[in-house]
Amino acid sequence: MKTAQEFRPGNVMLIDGSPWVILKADFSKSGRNSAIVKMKLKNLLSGTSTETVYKADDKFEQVILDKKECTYSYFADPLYVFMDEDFNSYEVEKDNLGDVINFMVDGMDDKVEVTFYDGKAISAELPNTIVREIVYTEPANRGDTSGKVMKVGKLANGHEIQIASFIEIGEKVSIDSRTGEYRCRA
Amino acid sequence: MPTRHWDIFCTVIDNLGDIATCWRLAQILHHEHGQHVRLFVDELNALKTLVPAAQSTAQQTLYGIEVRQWTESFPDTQPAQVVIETFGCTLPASYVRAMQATPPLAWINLEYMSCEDWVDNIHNHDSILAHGLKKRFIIPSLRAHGGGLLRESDLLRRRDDFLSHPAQQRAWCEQWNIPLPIGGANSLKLSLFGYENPQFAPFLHDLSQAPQPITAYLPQSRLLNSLREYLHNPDLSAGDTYQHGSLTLHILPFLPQAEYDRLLWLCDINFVRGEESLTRAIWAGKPFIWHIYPTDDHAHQVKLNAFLEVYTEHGEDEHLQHLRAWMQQWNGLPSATEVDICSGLNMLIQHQEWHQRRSTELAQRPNLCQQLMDFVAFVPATG
Repeated sequence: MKTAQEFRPGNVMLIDGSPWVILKADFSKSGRNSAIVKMKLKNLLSGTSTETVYKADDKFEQVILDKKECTYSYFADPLYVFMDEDFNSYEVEKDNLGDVINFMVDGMDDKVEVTFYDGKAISAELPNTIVREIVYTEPANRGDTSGKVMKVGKLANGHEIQIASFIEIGEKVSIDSRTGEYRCRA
Repeated sequence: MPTRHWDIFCTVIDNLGDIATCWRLAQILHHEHGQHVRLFVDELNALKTLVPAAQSTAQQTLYGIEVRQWTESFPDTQPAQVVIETFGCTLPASYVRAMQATPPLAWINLEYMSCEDWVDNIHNHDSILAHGLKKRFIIPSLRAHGGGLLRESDLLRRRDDFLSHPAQQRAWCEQWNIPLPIGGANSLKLSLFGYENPQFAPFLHDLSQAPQPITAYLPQSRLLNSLREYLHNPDLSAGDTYQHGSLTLHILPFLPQAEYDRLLWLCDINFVRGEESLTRAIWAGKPFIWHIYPTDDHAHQVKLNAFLEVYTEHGEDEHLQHLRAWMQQWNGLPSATEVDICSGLNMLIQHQEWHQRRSTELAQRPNLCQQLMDFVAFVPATG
């Protein structure tokens, strides 16, 4: 059994006998309130999607599915295509990737774990730490090198994240793919 | 709505706020909505502090509420139609198994009040648990899309009635042995309820230097420890009075929950702690300073600032900026401006009407109990 906060997008959890893949997971913690995880789930049997909230320590059985290490090849709307080392290609629907698509960029060389259910590729997970180039950001405020002041930086796919104000266009940054948050200059 | 059976589960962690909220919710459900309520609580002594009529017996009926002691070896119990787990408590495993066999109409997870943005994203959402039962998350809040606050439907009328009858006020003070203010109408009246607070010593010093007489009432609470420390007198207790300069401070016994409102209504400015007394201070319609429950991870700082923004509606008036700064300062947070206590008191007094108006505005919104009743009335199916 794993707690809700240990699950991450791409994992599959068993709810009332059905496998549900996690498309998105957002964590909230406030004062004395329970830490809460809000998830977007897709039922792998019926294809229906739902949003649900959990206390971070709610327990679920994880469904362990076949996984394969792949690399990203290309996007053919609405499918993301991945390839394994034997050059077999696997298509994953865009809607099944959740927040992963925020960090899918052409030419990325991350090892992506593609998950299979009943022989079909159903989701993909990025490594916890990924490196992406900032293709656009406003100039830094002069003198701030603390890394505490943040600004918006755009990735090659158009997705925007908060980055340290001293990062410049063309620089690469390290990102936590689980939270989508900037970590440091790469 | 027809009468339904409700079970409320509460664990007492360290203070009285959790059981105070649960008891108030149980009372409103029963007395205003005609619901049958069973309250499970692990610490009966905490309930006795709030409701002196409570006994130490494991099962009792108190003002129409069935109160049961929640023991570790939880007996087999038929779940109610509506089940509320409060403030992160974990229901007994046997009770959850019984719910799986006979799913309740609704299972509610009631969290602490918050005014942070995430409330919009979590409040009123279902949790689909591993065994298939659904649990609804309810977050009390002042946010437009939050769960509201607990409030009796006649509370503001009772408040206004009490405040317009000086004889009632005098009788109440006599009944509870509460000394009348020195200095009569010119005296500023404060109620002081809180946790231990390093800001308390300089605050008392400043009050003693105030240009007008100040009468402060300190019902027994952890804040009394700060007074004892300040006066180097560990024996101070209810009935004692401290007088210095303009300040006269009376230590009161802990007031039963049903009486505390009247102290808030009588005072000009209320210092409150936790969430139950914060809620009552809002409904009192008087200026207040909130001592939020501090957490080790400092998450309370974000929570306090969110509350201040929502309560003051992001207002830029000098008074509201001042109110935010003082509350931040009282809680040891960085604030935009340093608050001078005496001018701060005067500014709050000058803007009493704002707080009364805000209280009336907030009371127009559906209160927490009404929202729970509406949810249960329209819940489509069990399980």
